[in-house]
Amino acid sequence: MQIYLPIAELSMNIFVLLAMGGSVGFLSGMFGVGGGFLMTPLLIFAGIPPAIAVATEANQITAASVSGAVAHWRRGGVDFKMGTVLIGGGLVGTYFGAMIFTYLREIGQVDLMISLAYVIFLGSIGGLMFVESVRSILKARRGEITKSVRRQRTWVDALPFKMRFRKSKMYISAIMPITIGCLVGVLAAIMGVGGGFVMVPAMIYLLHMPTNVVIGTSLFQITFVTAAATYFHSINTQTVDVVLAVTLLTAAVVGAQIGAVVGAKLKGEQLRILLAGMVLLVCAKMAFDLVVEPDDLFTISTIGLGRQ
Amino acid sequence: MKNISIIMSLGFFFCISSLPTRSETLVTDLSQHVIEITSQFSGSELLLFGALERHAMESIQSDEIAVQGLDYDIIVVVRSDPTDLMIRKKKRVAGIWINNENQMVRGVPGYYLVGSTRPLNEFLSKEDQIELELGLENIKIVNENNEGIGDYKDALIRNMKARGLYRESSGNITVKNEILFRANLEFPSNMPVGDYKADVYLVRDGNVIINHRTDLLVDKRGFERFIYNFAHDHPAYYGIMAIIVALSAGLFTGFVARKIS
Repeated sequence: MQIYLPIAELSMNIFVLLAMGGSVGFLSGMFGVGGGFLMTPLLIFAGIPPAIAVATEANQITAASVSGAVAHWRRGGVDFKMGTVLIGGGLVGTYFGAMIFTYLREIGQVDLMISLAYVIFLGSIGGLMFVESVRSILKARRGEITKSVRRQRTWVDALPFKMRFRKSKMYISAIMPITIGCLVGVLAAIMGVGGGFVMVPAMIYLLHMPTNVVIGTSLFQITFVTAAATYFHSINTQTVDVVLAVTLLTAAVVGAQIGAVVGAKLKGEQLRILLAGMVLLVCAKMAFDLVVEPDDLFTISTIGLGRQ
Repeated sequence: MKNISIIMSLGFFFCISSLPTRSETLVTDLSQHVIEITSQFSGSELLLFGALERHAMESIQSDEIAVQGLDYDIIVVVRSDPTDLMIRKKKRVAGIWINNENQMVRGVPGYYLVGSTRPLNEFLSKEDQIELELGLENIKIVNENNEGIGDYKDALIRNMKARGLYRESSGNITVKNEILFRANLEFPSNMPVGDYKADVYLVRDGNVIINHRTDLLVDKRGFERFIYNFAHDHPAYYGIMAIIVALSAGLFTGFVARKIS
């Protein structure tokens, strides 16, 4: 059965869309990420124009992450104060990200930017996560117990504007979470991702937040940041396809609920190594497409006619 | 001077007198005059049909016509509103392929279909093909400075063909009893909206003797139209609506899932 997407202006098989939404939703529930880093490339490969894929994904992740955030909140897994600080940075980042996106779209370089951003961010973060989780799994095999050593003081602790985060039992500078939130906001706007793949590792390795509040807080922030990205893209480029978003999210929210149950049964290291593998796979695919000579060197579009 | 005017008037008289034997009327129509793009829209197929009336000839030269029947050729062209397009060319820079050069073309059709009884070159001169923009290679595609753009033009046609937006075929118009003809027109789901023109050209002895134009409107309908217009006319409200839809869908399904488990 075909469904016509009014903003993308083409029709697609509804079952393909539901299957894509459902499986990505499952993974997002399992890993506590928005799933956009899989969904956006999938949509592009399925023939949706990249700009519409990115903007629509922001809209869909809002739905996927709000149900996840509520589920974690009920288990007490959201640090609202930390979340609010992250959102503050996130809104600024989203605004500028959407501006950069609009400009690059006009000059015809938005696809390149999307690919480069994927390769750089997914490559470095996937690589780090992979190495780290392999190391900790090997340690566990050798029977070493990772003692919760009192962590070393670093330059992060020397920053001013310290705030107390009771839920996370931390007393750190607000500059760090605001910067992270801002970066994630830029990524949400230009890549069509929630930014969980940056946020979760940043919270664990940079902010040293307790793992029980990491995923809930990141989902809480992602909900607001992707909502902002949806709004900015709607205003700047009219690229949010609500029909596509609703179709995807119907399947994705169901998948996410199942994924969350499965994820709770897996160990942290296993989850991280799986996520790292998937991140690296998407990264490799994107990098491959950049260096291989395209079938057709020419592309046709209706965009960018205003500025020459 | 006198001689010339005599020859001209003679010629004129000859034309007039020959008209009755050469009088044809072309009647064409489409099976639908509006294509509505709705939620289940997955492309469309229309029938363009018509009849050729040859009053005078039938009575005066009926024998000759039976022999000459195949002298008639029919060309069908469907074009959408002219549009502006950007053609970008990739180049390898530091190991990766990036959009490097571009050409903008103005006033080219966003959709173009040409069909004919035989390959165009077999019955119509190249000059006529170019003048009437019949055939994909004869569509006028020039840049802003009115210059030809070589491989960019080929690339545009190639890409539009791949998307199903430019179509060219010969032999797909069936003529019955040398009077009735029909052509199936195919439209893909990514067809642009707007006013289309379906032109039918009747060709005899290498000359276009009649053409007939039928209008076709392609428009989004119902819910699809509402969403599209809402997004473009009130982008801020549309954005807020999209957020509310996403939030309530997320919260609702989360709630349902909790009740089930």
